Amino acid sequence: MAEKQITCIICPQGCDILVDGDGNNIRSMAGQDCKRGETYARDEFIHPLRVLTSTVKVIGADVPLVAVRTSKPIPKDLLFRGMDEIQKVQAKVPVKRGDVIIPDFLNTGADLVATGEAC
Amino acid sequence: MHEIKCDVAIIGGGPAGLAAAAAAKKHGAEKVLIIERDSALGGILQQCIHPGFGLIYYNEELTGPEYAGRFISEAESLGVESILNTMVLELLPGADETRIICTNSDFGITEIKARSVILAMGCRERTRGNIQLPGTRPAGVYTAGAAQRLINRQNAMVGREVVILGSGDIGMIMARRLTLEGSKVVAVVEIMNFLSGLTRNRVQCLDDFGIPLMLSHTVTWITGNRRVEGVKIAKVDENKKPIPETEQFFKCDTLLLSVGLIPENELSCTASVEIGPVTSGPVVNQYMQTSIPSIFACGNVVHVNDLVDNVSVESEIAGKEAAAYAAGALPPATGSVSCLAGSNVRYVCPQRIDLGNEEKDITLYFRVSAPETKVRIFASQDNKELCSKKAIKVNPGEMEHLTIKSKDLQPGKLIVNISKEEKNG
Repeated sequence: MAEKQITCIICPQGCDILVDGDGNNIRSMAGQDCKRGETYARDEFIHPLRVLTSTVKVIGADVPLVAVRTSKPIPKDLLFRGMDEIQKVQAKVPVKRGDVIIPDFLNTGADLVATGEAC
Repeated sequence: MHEIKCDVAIIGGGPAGLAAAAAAKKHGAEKVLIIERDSALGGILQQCIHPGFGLIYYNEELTGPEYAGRFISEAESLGVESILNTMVLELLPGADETRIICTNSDFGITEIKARSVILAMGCRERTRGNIQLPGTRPAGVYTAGAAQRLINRQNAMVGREVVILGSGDIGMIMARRLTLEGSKVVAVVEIMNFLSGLTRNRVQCLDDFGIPLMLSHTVTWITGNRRVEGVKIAKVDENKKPIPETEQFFKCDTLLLSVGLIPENELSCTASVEIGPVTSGPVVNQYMQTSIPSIFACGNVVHVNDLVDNVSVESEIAGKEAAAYAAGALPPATGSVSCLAGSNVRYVCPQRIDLGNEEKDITLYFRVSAPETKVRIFASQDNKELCSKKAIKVNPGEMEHLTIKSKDLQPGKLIVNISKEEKNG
């Protein structure tokens, strides 16, 4: 059983929502002002997702780094493991925006793609 | 001396300059030239590798390089030209054309003659000097944006144990970035009793990583001989004065400053463009035209924005109207309205609305002075209300706007007010 305080970021009101539950099971929720806030708090409680962005080293380019992102949000608790994976790879020139650097990143179904370019 | 002639010259190839250039081209300007001091277009967006851009403009969440990439592609496909690695030194407005003196590593001193000019130089970070932060002068004190460039573009780490002064968006985003890269962010310290950046950044950059946010606190002293060894942090009273007995030492090797941005107007001043006292940017009308009719301005050089989406929209206006001016198609005004800040409004942009041209909707952008909940926002002339809206929450960190119809306006003053809503209202 765990209580969790979640600040809603759907609109500028920023409701502080108190969620009480366990794993996938939500027992109670208080503080949300609308349906969208309820959905947000539910998702944040059960499986919070984030887009991870970082940079990858490029070899033989005019710049030392190229910016990367996950193509879709990945579980929040994978962010640090994701950083470890990103550190292991190097991209080869030319890198175009949208190029896949690591496919199926950490088995999440998201790809790690370049957001910048290098040549 | 190398010489270039163009219809519209744009100083700065960041988001403002790119959107303005594309719009100028779309509205008939033949030769549109962006002058950029960096080696690539895109401006500060190139180092903003985090997501959160384009939610309004594109209705999708992009990173900075992706957002810039779309505008660069568009500008290039429209035939916008650019001259990179070029620093503008002086702006000399004339009757028929403005002369722009710049220096370029290939051509040397270069003179660009343009029928209209768009200022899109963006803004600068406030530094330790600006906030007169006392202490020793060791290495390891950076502005947040400088640290962001070092980490995200130059592959250089700035420190391992970091205190961040200021809860602006760049500071919070750097707190997350440094944490992901293995540094420990000791605290984010904010002198005001409210967050100065966006709530979503507090949630996703600080709360996600358990980084403490110390509101109503400030850094009072920097310690360290060669390198920062720590800072003293104290609580502040209601006048933002540090309370000495609350001072505590925090060990760290790096201090990042995210203490505000100032529009970059050294060049505007060389051309004697009128600068607004609150925004520190050029005073503009609804066409983003400055006090000098051939010079337009857009983006953070005019007023510091929190969302690039707003910059793009505003810059497209500047581009369109600068193209019209270059073609001699922007008729003079028959009268004007001064847009003034009323209660709990810090400033209104544009500061002036010129009457007499085509009738259209005009969007006024403004910031509140202090956070407030359940308010009514309204614009009025001589106590006659022109438009209003309600807001559940207003915050100095989030720009507000109202749209008015130019046909409803009379020459004189217009005031934007924010008032607490009546209980039964």
